[in-house]
Amino acid sequence: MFAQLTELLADFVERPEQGKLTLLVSTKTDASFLVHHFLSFYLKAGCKVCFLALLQSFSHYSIVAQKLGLSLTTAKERGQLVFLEGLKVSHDIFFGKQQSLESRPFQFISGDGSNLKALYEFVQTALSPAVGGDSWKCPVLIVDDLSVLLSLGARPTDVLDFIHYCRVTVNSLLKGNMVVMEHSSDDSEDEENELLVRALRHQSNRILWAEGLATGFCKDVHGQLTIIHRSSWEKKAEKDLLQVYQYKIQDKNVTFFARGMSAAVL
Amino acid sequence: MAALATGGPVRSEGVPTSFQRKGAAGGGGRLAVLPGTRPSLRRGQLLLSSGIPSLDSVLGGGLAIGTLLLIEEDAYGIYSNLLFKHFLAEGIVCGHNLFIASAKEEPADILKELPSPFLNTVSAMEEATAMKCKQDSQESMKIAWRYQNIPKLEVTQMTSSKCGHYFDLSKPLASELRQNIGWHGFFLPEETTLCHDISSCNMASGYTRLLHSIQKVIYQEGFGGSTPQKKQRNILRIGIQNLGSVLWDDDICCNENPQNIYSLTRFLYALRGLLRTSLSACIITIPSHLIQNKAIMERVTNLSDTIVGLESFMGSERETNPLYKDYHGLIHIRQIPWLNSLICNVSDTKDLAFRLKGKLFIIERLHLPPDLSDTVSRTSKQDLAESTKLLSSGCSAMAIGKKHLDF
Amino acid sequence: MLGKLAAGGAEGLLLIQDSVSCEGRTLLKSFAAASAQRGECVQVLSFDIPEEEFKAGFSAAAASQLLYHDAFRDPLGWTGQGCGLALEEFGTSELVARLTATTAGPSTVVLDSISWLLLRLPFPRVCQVLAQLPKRAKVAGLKISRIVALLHGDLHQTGQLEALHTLARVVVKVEPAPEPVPGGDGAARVAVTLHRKTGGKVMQKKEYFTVLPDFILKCLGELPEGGVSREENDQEVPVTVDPAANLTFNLRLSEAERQAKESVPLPYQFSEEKKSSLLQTPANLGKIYYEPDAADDVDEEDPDDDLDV
Repeated sequence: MFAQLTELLADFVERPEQGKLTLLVSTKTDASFLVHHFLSFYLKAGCKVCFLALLQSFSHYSIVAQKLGLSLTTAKERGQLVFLEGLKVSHDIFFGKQQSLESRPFQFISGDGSNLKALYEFVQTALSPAVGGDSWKCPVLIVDDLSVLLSLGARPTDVLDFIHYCRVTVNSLLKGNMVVMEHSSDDSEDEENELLVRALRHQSNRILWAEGLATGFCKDVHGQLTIIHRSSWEKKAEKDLLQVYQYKIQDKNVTFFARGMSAAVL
Repeated sequence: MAALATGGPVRSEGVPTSFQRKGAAGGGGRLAVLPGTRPSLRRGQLLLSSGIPSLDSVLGGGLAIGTLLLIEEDAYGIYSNLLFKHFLAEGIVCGHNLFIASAKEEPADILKELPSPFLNTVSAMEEATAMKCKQDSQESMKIAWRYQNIPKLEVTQMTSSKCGHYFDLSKPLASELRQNIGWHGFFLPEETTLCHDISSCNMASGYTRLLHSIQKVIYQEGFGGSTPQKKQRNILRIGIQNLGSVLWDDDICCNENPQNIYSLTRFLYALRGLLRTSLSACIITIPSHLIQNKAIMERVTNLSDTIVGLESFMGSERETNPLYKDYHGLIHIRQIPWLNSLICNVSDTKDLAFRLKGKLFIIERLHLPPDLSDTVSRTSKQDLAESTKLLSSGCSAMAIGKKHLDF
Repeated sequence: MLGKLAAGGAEGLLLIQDSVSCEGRTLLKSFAAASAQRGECVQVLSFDIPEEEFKAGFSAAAASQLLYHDAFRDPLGWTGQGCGLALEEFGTSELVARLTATTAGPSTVVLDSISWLLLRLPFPRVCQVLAQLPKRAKVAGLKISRIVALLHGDLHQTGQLEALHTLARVVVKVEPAPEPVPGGDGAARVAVTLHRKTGGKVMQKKEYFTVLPDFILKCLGELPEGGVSREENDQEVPVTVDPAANLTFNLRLSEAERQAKESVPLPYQFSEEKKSSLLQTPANLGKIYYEPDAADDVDEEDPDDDLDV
């Protein structure tokens, strides 16, 4: 986790917030550092994490996590991390002659018109407290990233249903958190993806939006991060809280600074 | 990422892992470095050369094993074909295995047309600099004559390793070199066998067959690590030509609302799964300018690792633009993968152009010539302004707001 | 106008349309709270958010008037527990049966949100249910005075939005306020209300509003015509710039210089008779009017000045 980002988000490792949906959006840049941050943050906080890695392999996350001081393999063996490697599971669907139990979550890829219920059931089994009781704190679901489901043939309403049920189980029933990664852009022509992003924006409590600088590529400032805390409509109408920072990614850390305050400029 | 077996216990994923990570403990019995590869120490990856050393340096050292290089073809497909051939020729020179797939040409014919390498890389470098010096020496400087012999344009840094080779496009590859290589070909019109129990997963049949063919080669020849290879471990270079065109039974290039928009994306996802778990790298050329539905191209972008777009000046009005008189086209590096690390090795130069000087294919930084006109006429300024507008796009930037200052 | 509508000024379908930039759920809850305060029964069909989240913030009295139908927990039957409202129960007869089972007094139905239904059910079906629900309920003995529904405007195409607008009696679009409004605590928003009255009149207003604790609606006044506030008007008046200021040379004229300038005859200044003749309707023949100026010297006997005289 990046200490600076934790401070900016007002998160605490000792007692992480509960029942929140955080949406990570990246526009024309690679915002996977946010996913690495949340994964290491929640593992360090002692939460049980279910990670749906749809786009990259386990070793990719594992190597980066090691740089951040965590071992994903150990977390898996302890039972703290449930890792679904989408590339491997789909391999069975594409090439396996009979569908195995492990590949059931990705049944929808085979194009038989099924929805994402099996994937939801996987998440539910993974995060429901074990029979003997867990020592972990609130459960967390991390999805990286949701746009891939559309590429694989899921309909937008299927994906929305999946997120809805994950919210029912993880956010509301188990009082856990969800972190979902999405790609978006203003001039995107992928209408289905944009619909998904907008619908999730309505449902999320916190949005972290990473985009490249509008003026072009810069070596010292890799991009701009906008943090939107959506007003909780529980008490009265409030304005959404908006914070904008710029960031620079280094080998083991990401530094954040106010706009114009990059170390290279000062 | 790709993995080999160590002496230690096999991990629970089923695919034994071994990595060329520096200083990794418990690595007794580490296997020899694979031929034609170079380790990227920062990220624990093995890098391959793409066949063009200047492209390698722009991509951060080369192409990582287990990744996909997507080439967005230029309008007539000429230069993308050259990049394709360079990739395969590099494989032959390094002794890798090849898998060539095409729906247009016979793989055997493609193999015959590969360029042959310059045996002496020094001579290739001299060739490259000699061409530049020829232009330079035409005007002798009157006042600054001390600087006469310094080359005007910087030659892109030569990667001084044995896996970057220069290729001579005028000479085809010697047949002796070809014969020593194990290669597989996939020519769609001749592939009629399709096992009936293979699920097509709603993909175009051409893609399904190609996917199974690749998987079979990886499995049987041991690139995936599950069956041990008898000889020394080798790398499989996969080249797929013109994917997505109508010859592959896919209608995304001709229809705005194609029948099955998930075919290509499902194929790429399955291919990514195969690449990540085997010792292979893949190059795909795709006619993106023909794909009507831009949403598909966006999804394809998300599913690929390295994306290089080619824009040739042939037939466009830029051919006569004095700005571009030395070059044949522009290269846009649209995406570089950020694998195994938080940052990626993005090169500083975003304005790259390529040219074909007789025998060599070179990629260089595009320099704008100084505005030396006597009368600063409106038209020339506008041309330059237009060109500079187009030059500043990069892989992690949106250069749309010219007037907007971030700070 | 918004306050009157919340206080029960309209019956039928009321749509509250919001977007990602400005949420409308607080306004929806304020309508529900106002209804509860009037003693009406409020039936809530909630799809978007869980029960605790919806009920949070209501006063105890209002909360006791809420009859909650939970459609968040298992609308599609995936968990198999069969509790709450399911998606296939969204049909006119099923809904009437469900609503009448709980109460018989005049009710307000609160729907959160229609967008959830529109993304999963065919569009005409949802519209038909909304249109027929009040009438069928009346037959069954339940008076539904109004249906207040939340709609996320950016999730649907414009065609669908406009079709819904024609079905509704009142459409309230919630937008963020362009600049801070006094009395709003920084949380003021703009409501663009369109009310189609039963008499055939259509009223449209743009107002500032905010929602206070316990979901009490507070109207902060209207926006002036054209949606431009007074402050903006002032800014639009261009500041006149004096072009003769800050120069290294003098462009200003003194009085005498100005008078001299004005008395200089301009090259095309015609005399009165020439002007009047020009202004007359032209005759068939073109006439040439020649006015000799000072340098001219016309000799009648020798007009071309070439005789050796």
